[in-house]
Amino acid sequence: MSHQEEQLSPRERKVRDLITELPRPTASATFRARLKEDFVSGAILQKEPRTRRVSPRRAWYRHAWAGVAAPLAAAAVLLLLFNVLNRGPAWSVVEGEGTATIDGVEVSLDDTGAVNDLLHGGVEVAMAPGSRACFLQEGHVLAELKEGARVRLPNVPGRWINRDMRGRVEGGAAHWVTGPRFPGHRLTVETRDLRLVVSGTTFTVMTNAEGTSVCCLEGNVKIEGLHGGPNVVTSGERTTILPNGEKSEIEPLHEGERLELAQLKLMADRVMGD
Amino acid sequence: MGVQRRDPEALGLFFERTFDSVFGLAFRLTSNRATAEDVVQEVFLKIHRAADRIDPDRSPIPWILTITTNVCRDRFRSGGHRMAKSSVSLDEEPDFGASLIPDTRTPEQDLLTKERQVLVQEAIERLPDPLQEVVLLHDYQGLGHQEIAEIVGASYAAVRKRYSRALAALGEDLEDTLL
Repeated sequence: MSHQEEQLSPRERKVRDLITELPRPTASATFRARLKEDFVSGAILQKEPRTRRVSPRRAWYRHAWAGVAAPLAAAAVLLLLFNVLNRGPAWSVVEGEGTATIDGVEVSLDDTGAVNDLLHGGVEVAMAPGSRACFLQEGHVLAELKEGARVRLPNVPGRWINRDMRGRVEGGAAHWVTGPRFPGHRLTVETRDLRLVVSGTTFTVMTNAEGTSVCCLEGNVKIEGLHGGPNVVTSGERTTILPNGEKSEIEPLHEGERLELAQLKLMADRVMGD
Repeated sequence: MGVQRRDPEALGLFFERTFDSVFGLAFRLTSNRATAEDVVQEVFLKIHRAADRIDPDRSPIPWILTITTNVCRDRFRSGGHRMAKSSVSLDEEPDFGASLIPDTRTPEQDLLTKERQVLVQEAIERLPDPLQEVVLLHDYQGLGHQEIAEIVGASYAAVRKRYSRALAALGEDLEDTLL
C-alpha cells in the first residue's frame, strides 16, 4: 500500500488520516444509469459538442431603412441588455432527495439538471412524502423545503430596480436563509394567515390547519396581517399565529428548530459565503 | 477482450468497475456535482473512443484516472470552473455526511463530523492544483507515488516532493481548527 512508502511525522499522519476519512461521494442514480446506457449503446459518441455553422454576414447596414431602424434597434438592445444585467441569479437546486411536483411536473430531486430546467421565479413546488430539497438563489436566499411543503418560490429580484422578492408557503415547513448579497433587497413570504417581511435573517415558516408558526434564528421577522398591527419575532424566538389572526405568546425556539436552522445556516455560509 | 470490440455486455461491466473511481476523483477535484458529472461524461466518451486500444493485460484504472485528471485540468484552465465551484457545496450529495456517521451519534456530533469534513475539503481546494491532484490520488484513491508519477506526467521524485509539500500546507492550514 502506498501509505507504507511514507516516513511521515505525527502531524503529517494526522493530516493524511483526515483526508482518508473523507466520505466517498456517490453519483445520482439517474445520472449513472443514463451515462451507462449511453456508454454501452455508443450513444455517448453522439453527445460531443457540435461545431456551429456560421451563416455569411449580410451587409444590412447598406439598406436605406437602416438609418431609422438602427437607432431604434440600438435602443432596444440597450434596454434588453439592461434587463438582462438587472436580472438577479436564477433558482437552482443544490441538494435534494425524493420527488417533487414543480409547476405540475413530477421530477426526481436528485436529477439536478431536470429540476433546474423547471425552476424559475414564482415556480410552484410541492414536496412528496419523505422528500427534502434546498433551492438556492445565488448569494440571496437559500430555501429548504421538507416533505409536504407546498411553496411558491420568490421571484428573481432585480439588481438595481424591482429588488423585492415575494414568495408563498401554502402548507408544510419551509426554512429560509438570506445570503451576503441580500442586503438592500426585501423578502416577503405570505401564508394563508399572515405576511412575513424580512431584510436579512434565518427563519422558518410552518403552516398547517392550526395556523402558522414562525421561528427566527437570527435577525428579525416582521409579521403583518395580525390584529393590532405589525409584530416582530427576533433572534431565538418563535410564535404561532392562529387562523383567526390571533398570535400566541412569543417563546424561545425549540431545540430541534434551533438545530435545523443552525445546520441550514452553516450550509448557506458554505454555499453563498459569509 | 470484449471492451476492445465494444461489446455491450463488456462495456457495461467495465463501466460498473470504473465509474465510482472516476466520479469520486472528479468530484473531489472539482468540488462541484454538476462539473463532476460533465467531467465523468467526457471521460467515458474518451474511453469509448479509445476502447480498441485498451491493453487487456493491465489495469485500466491508472489510465482512466489520467484521463480524469487531464479533463479536470482542462476545466481548471477555463474560467467557468472556479465560478461553478463557489456556487455549489459538498452538501449537494444528500447522504454525503450521513454515510460515514454511525447511528449512535447525536445530531451535534453529526454536525461536527460534517463540519470537519468540509474544513478538510476546503483546505484541499486551497492547494495549488498540482499538489491537490497528488494528495487526492495518493490519500483518497490510494495510489502509490510511481503510479501517480505516470498519471500526472512527472518524475517519482517530483511527486514525492509535491506530496510532502501538500501535507505541510494542509497541516498549516488546518492547524488552528483540526490539528
